[in-house]
Amino acid sequence: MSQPRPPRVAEWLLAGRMQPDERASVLGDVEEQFHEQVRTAGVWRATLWYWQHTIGLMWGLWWWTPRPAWSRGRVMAMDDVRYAVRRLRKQPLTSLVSVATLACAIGAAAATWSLVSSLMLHPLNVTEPERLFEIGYRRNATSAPTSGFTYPASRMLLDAGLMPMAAVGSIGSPTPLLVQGAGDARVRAVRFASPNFLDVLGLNPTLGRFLSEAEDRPGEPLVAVLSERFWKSEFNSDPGVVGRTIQVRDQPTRIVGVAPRGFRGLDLRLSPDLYMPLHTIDRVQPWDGLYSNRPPVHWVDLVGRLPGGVTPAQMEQRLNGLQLDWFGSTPEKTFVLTDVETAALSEGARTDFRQFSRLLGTTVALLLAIGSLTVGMLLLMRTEARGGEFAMCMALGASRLRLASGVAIEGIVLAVAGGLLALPVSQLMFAGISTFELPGDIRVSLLDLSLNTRVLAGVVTAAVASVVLIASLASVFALRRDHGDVLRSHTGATPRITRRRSRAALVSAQVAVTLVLVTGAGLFARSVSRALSLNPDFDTTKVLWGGGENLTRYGYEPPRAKAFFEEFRTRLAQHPAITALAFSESNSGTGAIHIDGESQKMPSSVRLIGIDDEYLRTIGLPMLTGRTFARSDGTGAAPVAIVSASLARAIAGEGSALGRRIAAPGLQVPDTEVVGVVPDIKSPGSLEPLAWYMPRRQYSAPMYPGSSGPRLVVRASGNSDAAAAAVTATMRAIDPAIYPEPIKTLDTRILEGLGPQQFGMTVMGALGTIALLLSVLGTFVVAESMAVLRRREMGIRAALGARGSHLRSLLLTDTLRLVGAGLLAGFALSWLGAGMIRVFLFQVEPFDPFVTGGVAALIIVMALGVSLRPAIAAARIDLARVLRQD
Amino acid sequence: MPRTALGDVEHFVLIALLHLGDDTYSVPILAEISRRTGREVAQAAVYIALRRLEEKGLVLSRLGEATALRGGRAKRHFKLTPAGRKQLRDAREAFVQMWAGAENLVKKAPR
Repeated sequence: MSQPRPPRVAEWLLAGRMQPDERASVLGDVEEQFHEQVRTAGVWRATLWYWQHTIGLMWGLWWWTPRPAWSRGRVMAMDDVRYAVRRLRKQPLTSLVSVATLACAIGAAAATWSLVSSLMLHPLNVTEPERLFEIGYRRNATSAPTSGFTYPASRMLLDAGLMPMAAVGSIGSPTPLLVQGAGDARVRAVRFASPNFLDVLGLNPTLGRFLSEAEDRPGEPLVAVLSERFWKSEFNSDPGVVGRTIQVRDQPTRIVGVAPRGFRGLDLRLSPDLYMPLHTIDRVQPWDGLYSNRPPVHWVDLVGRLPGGVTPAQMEQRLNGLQLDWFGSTPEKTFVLTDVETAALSEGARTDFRQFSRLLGTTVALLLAIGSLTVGMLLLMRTEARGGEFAMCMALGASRLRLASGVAIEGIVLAVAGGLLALPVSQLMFAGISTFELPGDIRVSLLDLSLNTRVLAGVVTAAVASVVLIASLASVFALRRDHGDVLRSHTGATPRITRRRSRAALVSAQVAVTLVLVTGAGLFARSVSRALSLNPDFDTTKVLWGGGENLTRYGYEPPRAKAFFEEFRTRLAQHPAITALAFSESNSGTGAIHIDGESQKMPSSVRLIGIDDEYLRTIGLPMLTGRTFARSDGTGAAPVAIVSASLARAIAGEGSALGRRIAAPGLQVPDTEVVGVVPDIKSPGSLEPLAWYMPRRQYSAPMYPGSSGPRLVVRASGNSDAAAAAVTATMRAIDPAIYPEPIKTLDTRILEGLGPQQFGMTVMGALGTIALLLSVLGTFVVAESMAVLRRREMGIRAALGARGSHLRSLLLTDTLRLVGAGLLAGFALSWLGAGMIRVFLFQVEPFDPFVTGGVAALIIVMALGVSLRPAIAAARIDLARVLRQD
Repeated sequence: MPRTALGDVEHFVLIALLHLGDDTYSVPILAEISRRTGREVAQAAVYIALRRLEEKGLVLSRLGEATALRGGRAKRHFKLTPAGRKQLRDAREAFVQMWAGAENLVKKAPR
């Protein structure tokens, strides 16, 4: 079992307070005690102990260190701090609410900015990224740049020696391979790199070394360099990992090093777990071979560092000037250099993420606003309550400045405590969002997010500044009152009654922000719900689709592949987790088909799908019109087709598509009669799917070149996870060398495509809940204080004959008024931010009446609910008692 | 008071070093003080005391071996110097002198 580690942030904080000569020994002492705590009390208590101990040590080291005379002022200020802490402790609930609010706001802001910064500002942790370029080419003057060369072509460029250049091999993405590290064997992403890869990027390994020239030869024993993430997760950062052996596709592979800290590869969507020598690629992924020019090939990406004084345009010119016998080369092909940070994220993904960042930033800004408003309100209440004390102090000669500085110090203490608590909050946020996918298919878990300390310092400073400002305003409100008036109120004289206008304004602002956040979360939730209910005709939670299983990858010839699938079908059909299974074959479709002999352009691509007899039954797709395929629709019979409802509309408009004849000459599909229509299988990316189903037995498999192999469809008898596990186990029981493509329900696939919406729903939902609770608390505080303030008025009204219900409604109307004002402001804010959220919504408008109305109703009901108690108490007031009390 | 006068924690640390022998480090020192006095002394106070005692020349320190349990970090071992021993002896004698004849007064004093 791996050894637990002390919390890193606490360790870092402590290290910062130590003198360099004693840092290692003190940290070592505390870690030793931490392990003792783990042994006796468990990891969680030990972690808590470490935090407490860190704070104690930091405080103690500061406090007991002898100070020179010039710093005595600081000690004086410490007395003020201690006094402020004591005062805050006297009102633990309000102090706790303030600190928790600030911690949430600061933690969320710091985590969000760290996320944005790691993707937009410093996406790649490499040295001088502005001089690093990915080498690609254009097929002609108008085509988009393409990266990835065949090995022979890449060899030519590497041998040309125009600049330091490294090669990284893959099949489209980091090659997924089954790797057994310290734990169970799992599919991992592997990059095959040339030995100079890290040198070109200007990086050094964290441990050991990178790959060597001697290891980068065919037939050499396999070696690997671990990514830092893999090293941490699989080997728990074990410093002795170098020299250990792991299994990569059942072949022993020696670990020679660990990649640099924070290095995530050169593509933000993918993050390799292992790096292995380029020329060993054939050993672990036996395709047609690295050295082949024919597909499928191992594509090789090239990255180069520009020499000093050479511009990208000059280097492009030099590359184009090379006389290369490039396979498939055409005279129009030209080389293009793309800087690695741009290449790390596609332009579309960058735009999407920019929009998403704006939405996220606004959300966090709103939370920061609500945090400041809440703390402001609590400070205001505190200073108002201390009116008598201030008056007494001023009467005894204290200056207003001195008293105001005391209030400001309270604010600073709150903000600093909030800042400290923000550290675990941001870690929780990172953990919470790690399962999500951002726009551009960026998986948060691959980003290795860590808190950017500069960002945290900046946010805490901003929070301290805003709280000090609010505290100063609060003290101005408290200290501008006439202290004579205040003191008279203690002698039985009647003070002037002032309405709590500033407090009510703060609550209205809270309500406005709450409406925006909760509505945002509601809109995202409704988008997800709409997407999941796109297919009412069948159970999307029980039907699982697999990816195309192309057995030629594993060296299967067609007869052997056929035998494999027959065996697989027989075994899986008997499995209790599966009630039905079927196979289909599909390929990229065609944009135009012939209808009754005439070529017609279709609104989107028509997908041709060869299906077996069980396919429609397995999914549960009912026939809308016509018939299903019959036994007689075999080889030699007249070709027949079933089409999706959308394709039927495209063929026949509002009329019947049955009996119409369609053909796809480009795909060698002859004239075919439409015999049936089934419902669409929709996804958010394909709302009107044009599907053309053909009986598989009418065509020999594979139907056309390049087919990715049969796609499996199964219906689970119960749990879909159990069915997916059964599929994998059955396939690997027949041939352990096969690692099946994941098989998922349609809902899962839809949800995977809705990463940003789910992310938004979770983040805005969590922040909205906090905002809602704070607003409700604020409303309660205002209602309670108004009820107290208006006791005499209520007593007089009651004495003059007003009924209890009338008095209650007076106070509840006040609550409704301030909540109503907040809701109006919230609607205005929502209107301003509608453009920001619209792009991420699916079949929902930013002003969805169901969501907006529901959230507004919820806020009103909760506000009235918490105002009820003070209203009832005020309605039962007894004037005689009020007068006696006064 | 002369600069070399010992504070409470400094005094405890020196006596703990006497008990534990040479080449001990801060964790056992802290445990020893807690065990013998029943008082929870802050670890920071022990570090500061050790720092001061070293500055006064009453203890010597050296970096020791690193262990995995300490995250690969070295221990700082401390030992008493002859000056430290003398300081302790002097302090003890001063206390004995001060206490001479006063024990009974403490016992009789009302609680």
